[in-house]
Formats: sequence, structure tokens, C-alpha cells
Amino acid sequence: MRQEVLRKGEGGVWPWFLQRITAVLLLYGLTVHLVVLHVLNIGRLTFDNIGDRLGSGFFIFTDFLLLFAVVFHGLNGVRMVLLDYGFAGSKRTALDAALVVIGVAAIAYGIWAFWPWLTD
Amino acid sequence: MPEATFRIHRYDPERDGDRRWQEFTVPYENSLTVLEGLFYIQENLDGSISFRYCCRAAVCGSCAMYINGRYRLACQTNVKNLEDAPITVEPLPRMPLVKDLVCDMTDFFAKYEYIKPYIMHESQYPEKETLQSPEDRHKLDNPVDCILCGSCYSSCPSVWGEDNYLGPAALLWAYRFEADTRDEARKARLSSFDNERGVYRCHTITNCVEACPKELNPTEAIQWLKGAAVRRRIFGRWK
Amino acid sequence: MIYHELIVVGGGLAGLRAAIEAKRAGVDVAILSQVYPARSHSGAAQGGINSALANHPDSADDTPEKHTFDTVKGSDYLADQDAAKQMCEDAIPILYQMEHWGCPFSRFDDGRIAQRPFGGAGYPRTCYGADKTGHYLLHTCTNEAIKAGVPFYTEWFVTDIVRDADGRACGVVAYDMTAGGFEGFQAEAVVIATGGAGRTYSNSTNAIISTGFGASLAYRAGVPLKDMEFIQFHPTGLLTTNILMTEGARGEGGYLINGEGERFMAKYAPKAMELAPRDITSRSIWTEILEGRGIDGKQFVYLDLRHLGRDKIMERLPGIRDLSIHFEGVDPIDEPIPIVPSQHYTMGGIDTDMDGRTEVPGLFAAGECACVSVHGANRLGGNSLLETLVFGRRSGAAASEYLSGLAQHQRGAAEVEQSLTRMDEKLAALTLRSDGEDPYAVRTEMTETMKEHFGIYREEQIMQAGLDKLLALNERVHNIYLRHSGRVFNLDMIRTYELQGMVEVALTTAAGALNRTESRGSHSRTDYLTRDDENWLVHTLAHREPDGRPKLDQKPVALGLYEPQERKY
Ligand SMILES: Cc1cc2nc3c(=O)[nH]c(=O)nc-3n(C[C@H](O)[C@H](O)[C@H](O)COP(=O)(O)OP(=O)(O)OC[C@H]3O[C@@H](n4cnc5c(N)ncnc54)[C@H](O)[C@@H]3O)c2cc1C
Repeated sequence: MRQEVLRKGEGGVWPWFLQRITAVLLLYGLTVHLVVLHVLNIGRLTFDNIGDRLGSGFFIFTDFLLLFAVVFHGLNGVRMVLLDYGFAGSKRTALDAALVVIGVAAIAYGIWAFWPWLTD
Repeated sequence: MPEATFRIHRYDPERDGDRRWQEFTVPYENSLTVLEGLFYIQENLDGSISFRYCCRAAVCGSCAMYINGRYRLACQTNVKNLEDAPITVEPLPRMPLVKDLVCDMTDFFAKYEYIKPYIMHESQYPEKETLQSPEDRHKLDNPVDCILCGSCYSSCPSVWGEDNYLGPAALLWAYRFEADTRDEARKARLSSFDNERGVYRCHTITNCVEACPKELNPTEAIQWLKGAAVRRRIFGRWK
Repeated sequence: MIYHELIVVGGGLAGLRAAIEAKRAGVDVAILSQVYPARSHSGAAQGGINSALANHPDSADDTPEKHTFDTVKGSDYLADQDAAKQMCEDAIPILYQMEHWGCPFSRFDDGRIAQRPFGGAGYPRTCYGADKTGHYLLHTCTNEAIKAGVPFYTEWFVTDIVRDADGRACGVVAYDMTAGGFEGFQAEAVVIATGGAGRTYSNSTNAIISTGFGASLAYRAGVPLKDMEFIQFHPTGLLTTNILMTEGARGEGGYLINGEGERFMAKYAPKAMELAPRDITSRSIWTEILEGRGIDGKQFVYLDLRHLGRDKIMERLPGIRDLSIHFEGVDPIDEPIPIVPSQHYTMGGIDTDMDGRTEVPGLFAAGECACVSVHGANRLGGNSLLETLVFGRRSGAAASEYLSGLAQHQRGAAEVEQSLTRMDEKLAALTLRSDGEDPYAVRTEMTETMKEHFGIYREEQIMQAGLDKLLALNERVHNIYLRHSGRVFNLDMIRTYELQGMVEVALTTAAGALNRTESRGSHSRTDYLTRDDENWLVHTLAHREPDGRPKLDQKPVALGLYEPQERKY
């Protein structure tokens, strides 16, 4: 019976809420990016300048926030689309697992790329 | 006497089970609704045709059909207001079929019943009525008019993709109770709709708003429920 | 075969309320209904439900006693006064119960349930939810039944009530419309709550499924029908479709206007005006029409709401406005609505006591199909929704009590089997025949006969001619043939079965009307102009003869509270 299937309800409030939060963070990141690169620093883009900036606490914080937000928002978005194409039951578990793996890998790669400035 | 030509969807599971179209011509005097036309056909032209009916006054929700490419109540649709001829009459699209214009509403009602469509009240009732201000009552104006006709449910692409999505009608009813000042369901109802078979499956496509013959707005109700779920689950604010 | 302790036939307000009561008393009860319960005809009720809550500023000293008096006076003294009293007393708790169950009533500013004036009532005591009260109540009760866990057999059409060797009701046979085929239901008791018989008339405000077929099943099972000659004509049905324009429209201040532009009710009920009881108002309209004062001399008058203004119409009567736009092409904000008196309510029905018991042990009835009687010769607007809930509840309770007193359970399986075989054979016989009477020609003739011969004004010769026609139809109905033999959702079969019951029910109305040589309430005869308490302060009972004709009998009216007086409004 349909109701028995329905009773195995799946969570959803956190992904939905975080999708909204990360959307706001993305807007914030985009604004910082545009202001810093296209307003404040016009004509001053040298390797040293960028290196200095990446080493500052504010930018490390912003960039990590952005990294997490982009990965979550993007992958969760893909997940929402795929769920509409009938990923249910074990297929859905596999999908979730695959997305977590991709997400963790992406974040690890991001941290690795940042490493020199973190240890500076 | 004017005449109207009806092009009707036929399907008989006991015969070949094929879906086909059949045309009928119905004469009428001053006015003819699609439902009256169907009765004329059933009584005079083809006794084997099946369709649902009850109140013939747009309040019971039985005769929702897909008429000339739009969701309509057959009883409320006058042929003189239909532009295209012949008048094409189909059952609610993408629903399992029973026969001809009758579709299977079992899942639809199972989902409706699943969201606990009733007031839950823990505390002692007052001796007389529970007081409710006219403003609070007005918040319910929209959902309490729902006649459970199934048009929104049939029109929703999220339902097409996921058999277990509750769909706009059931969620509109969840809203009707969550928004009622008298309801004290708290988690008991919340868990039935704040999941990915519930409100989070709605991507605000708004087909339901267009389909509703009562001009209600399930999409808006679902958005409200998403916000309410966050307020309740995460911030613990129940009313 | 399926077993439940209690079977409730009908998922309207009466059936739902009965089932909830039984379920909560621990009974294994199920509802069988031709349509999903929330689609029942009760949902079409608009104006409201009466209860002396005294919420309205003008009804501070209203009481159940005054409600009882209005009901009895409105009934032209044919109501059983003890039953009317019981209903009006139960009205208060049952209204609060509906509110607690979540019914979205309209509210006064102080948060209490809103009330409006209705015809024949001394105080504004009709509680309402906009002009969709029935819809709200029906959804509330459907939902409460879901909450209580009452199983619904939706789209099961009951075709027989079965009695065991001792004469007790022991089950029903029903046609499963979506799966196709008949099935037997064994039960210890049965409640019939199948609604009115409006569709025996061609000019009815009722739903298409309000055929009276359910009452005919009880009649066949040996229960008499009571007071069937009393048919209410509602003053304001839409001209082309007879769809109802609620009395609430006049309660909110609407006028009735004739072809000469007058508010003609001043002539007939100078005090109550448009809010006179329905029998009087309908007769007044019909007199205007017969005397040539319809609009343009035609057979209709106007219901004028324009002076109420857009805001009041949108707030209190939005449904009326929608119906009038969709079905008559008239927006009442700008134009008057063309209306005509239309068949509306069956005061009579299955003879029951105050707890829904019939003569047959284990068979109960409630709602419009039953006759307790609280409406007597004329029902007051807003009393019928009340009746369904009050007597639905009482019959559910009485059935539960009956069950607990039974010595032996699970009897009558053989009789249910037999009936099931009979139903299958009957269907086979109907489908084997390749020609015969056209059921729809018979149906049209019957409904036209009822409209023309047993309408607002009645007269000996016209009625006799009508009765003769019906008797002929009662013969013809047995030569009917089916054009469709499929098992799934066979409307041809359902409508033909209904027809056989409808003709028998129509005959009880006709015979009762011809027999009653007086004018009382809705039964108004041009050859007997006055009420005759000497001879006719009695209920009519119609027993079914084997050939489907009625045999008439009488039953005393319960008096004792109020002496019959002349009715003036
Ligand atoms: C347009 C309109 C407006 C009204 N407005 C008011 C109002 O404002 N106030 C008021 O007090 N009253 C009003 N009334 C009257 C009132 O609505 C009805 O008398 C009342 O609702 C009847 O309820 P019920 O439960 O007896 O039957 P219904 O609601 O008619 O239900 C009958 C049930 O029986 C089922 N059924 C019937 N036959 C079978 C069968 N053979 N097998 C299986 N199931 C069967 C049907 O499916 C249905 O569920 C109005 C009536 C009409 C027509």
C-alpha cells in the first residue's frame, strides 16, 4: 500500500535549508570577488599582491566558506535534479554516496591547493 | 437546434484495453454543459460510456476532466464557452485508468489521508467553541475551498516523476491544518510532509495553480510549509 | 464475503457521524459509499446549520426551547415534538463538537461562531461558514472519520439489504464499481444514510446521486416510508439548472422581485417578508408566476442582491456569486438573478424513532433518507444539516448498543450468499434481454410526472392522473434492458437499478399526496385549502406490497409541548 511506502519518510529539511544558506554565501562570495578584483584592485594584479591577499585571515576564511558552499550547493543541486529522474531506494543511496565522495574529494583538492598559504 | 460534437477518450479494460477516440454529436436547446453532454451520450447514444458525477454544481470534485486541453470540471464547463470543436474530453492525464473518463484515485486519496488531514488537539477543549479571530479564519479561506478533484495532482511534473511524492492537494491540506490556530499537531504532522516525498519535492513549477478549477494556490501553501518546517525543526518555533 | 460488525451505507454527514460514533464505542464499522465520502451531496449545502448558541447580538436570549417551537411551528405541527426538542437540545453540543473537530466556521469579531437569520426562525441562529457550510462540515466529518480509523469502501454501490431467518438485518450486497462485480457484506447491523430522493423530480436542486434508491432498499426490506407526500420546494433555484441559491442570500438581505418590480412578499408575509418559511415563499412566487407577474410574464422572478454591495457579497456569498456566474451567466453584483422554485428536500423517509431504529431489528436509518420526524410538513432551512449530525450520532450510538446486547454473532451468511446469487442472476437477466423498455425514457417520464402532477399546488384529478402514469411506469420498469454488460463502472446498470427504486419511492409520494385531503406545510391542495387537524394530524405510513405499490397506513404524531395554532409570519 502507498501509505506504508510513504511512512518510510526521508529527511530533507537540512539539505533544503542549507541550499538556501549556501546560496546566500555564494552571493556574498561573488560580491567580495567582484569588489576586490574589479573595483579595488584594478591594475594591481601581480603574483605578490595576490599571494599577500591569499595569506590574510579574512580571505582564508572567505575562500574556505566559498569552497564549502560551492561544493554543497552544486552537488546538492545535481542531486535534486537526479532525484526527479527516479533515483529511489538503493539507487538513491548509491547516488548520495557518490556525491559525498565527489564532495570530499573536491574539498580535499581545494585544501591541497591552498596549502602553501596556510602553512606560510 | 444547435449541436456540439464531442471527441471522447475511450478505454475498456475488459475489451482490448486499447485507448481510442470516439466522436458523438449532441443536440441541445439553450445551454449545454459538458457533463450534460456526457449524460446525453450515455442515455441515448452509447450506454457503455463511464464517467464520474455527483453534485453537478462544482462543489463535489467528482467530474474533473481534461477538456480541450485544460483541466476543468465537466459540470461547470458550458460548451458555448469552448472555442475549439470538436470538444475533446479526456480523463485526468497521467493517472492510472479505470475506464473511459474514470481514473484511479486510490493513491491520491491515500496521500491525502496520509498527511493527517484533521485537527490534532492535545490540551483541554473549552466548554464552548475555541475562539478564532476573523483574521485568523481568513488565513484558511483558500485551502478550505479545495474539493479534492485531483486536477493539481494530475498536472504536477513532480508527481509524474515520483510515485511517492505527496503532491499539491495533500500538501495544500497539510497547510490548511498547520495554519489553523486551533491545531496542535506539532511533530505528528510535520514528519509526514517535511521530507523529499513531501514539500521539498516541489520545485515551484506552478502547474497546480493553473490547473485548479477553484483558483486556489497550492504552490504558495507549499512554500509556506517549507518555511514553517525550518522554523519548527531548526528554531523550535511552533506557531 | 466481507465481515464488519456494523455497515453504514452512505458517506454523507449522517453516515459519517454515525460511523465515527460507533468506531469510538469500539465497534468494527465500515462505510460503503457510492462516491468518496467528501463528495457526498451534503457538501452542496450552503446556508448554514441551526443551533441556539446565542452568539448573534440579536439572539442573546435565544434558547433550545425557542428553536424547538420554531421547528414545530415551521413543520405545520406535524413534527414529533419530543424528537424536535431532542434535536434542538443536542444542537448546542454538536455544534461545539464540529468546531472542535476543526470546521472552519465564519467568525464574529469576538472570535465566536457567526450566525445569520434564516427563514421561519425567531432569532438569527443559523451558524455558517461563508456560503459553503455543508462543504466545510462534510470535509470536517470525513477527516474525523479518517482520524478515527473508519475504513471507507469508496465507489461501492449497495443494491440489497439482507435479513436473516429471524428477520434481523444481517448485511448488504454491493457492486464494486471500479473493480467490477458484486460482493456480499455480512454484518450484525446496518445503518442506512443514503440521502434524499430529490431526483425523482426533474426540477431538483439535489445532486444527481440523490435518487432515493437507498430509502427504497429499506422499503423493500420491509420498513415503511413515512410522510413521503411532503416535498419541499426551495424558493430560489437557478432558472436553467435548478442549482440552489441559498436562503442565506435572503438572510443577508436579498429581495425577491416580480415582473412589476415589486417586493411581492409584502402581500404574503408582511412581517417576515423574504424570510418567511420555504413553503410559504415558494407558493407566493408560484402564485405571482401563475397570475402573470413573472419577469416578462415568464416562469421566473428575480433574486436581487445588488443593494448588498460588492463587499458583502464577496465576504458572505462568494459561492453564490460563482455559481450564478458560471451556470447562469449573471454576476449578482451587477444584475438580479433569475430564479424559480425547485424541488429541494424530502421531508419524509424511512420511518425511525429518535435513535434511528426502524421496525426491522438491526436496521437503522439517519439523515435525509430517514424520517424521525423533526421536519413534519415543512423543514426550516438549516435544520437538515443539524438533523444529519444529531440523528447520525444517535443512530451510531444506538447501533453500538444493539450490538453489545446481541446474544449470537455472525449469523446470516447463507442469506447474504443467496442475495448475492440473486443479484448476479438479476444482472444476467437484464443483460441477456436484447430489447425492451428504454430506462432513460422511463426515467424522464417519471421525473416529469412528479414535477407536473405533484408540484407546489396539488389537486385531486391532476394527482390521480399522475398516480396512474406512475403505476404504468412501475410495470414498464420491469421490462427494462441494459445496453452495456461490462462489469467495470457500468453506469447503465447503476442508473437502471436506481430507477426501479425511484419509481417505487415516487409512488409513495404520489399515493400519500392524493390520500391527504388537506393543506399542510409543503403539501398544499387547491381543493382542500386548509389544515385539518381533526382528521390529518397524523403521519402517513407507506408499506410496500410485493408488486412495489404502496399500502397506506397512519401513525400518531407526538404532541404535548405546543398546541397547534394557525401559522402566521
Ligand atoms: C443545494 C442544497 C443546499 C442545502 N443547503 C442546506 C443548508 O444550508 N442547511 C441545511 O441544514 N440543509 C441544507 N440542505 C439539505 C442537506 O444538505 C441534506 O439534507 C443533507 O446534507 C443530507 O445528508 P445525508 O447525510 O442524509 O445524505 P447525503 O449527503 O446525500 O449522502 C448520501 C450518501 O449515501 C451514499 N449512497 C446513496 N445511495 C447509495 C447506495 N445505493 N450505495 C452506496 N452508497 C450510497 C452516497 O454516496 C452519499 O455518500 C441542502 C440541500 C441541497 C440540495
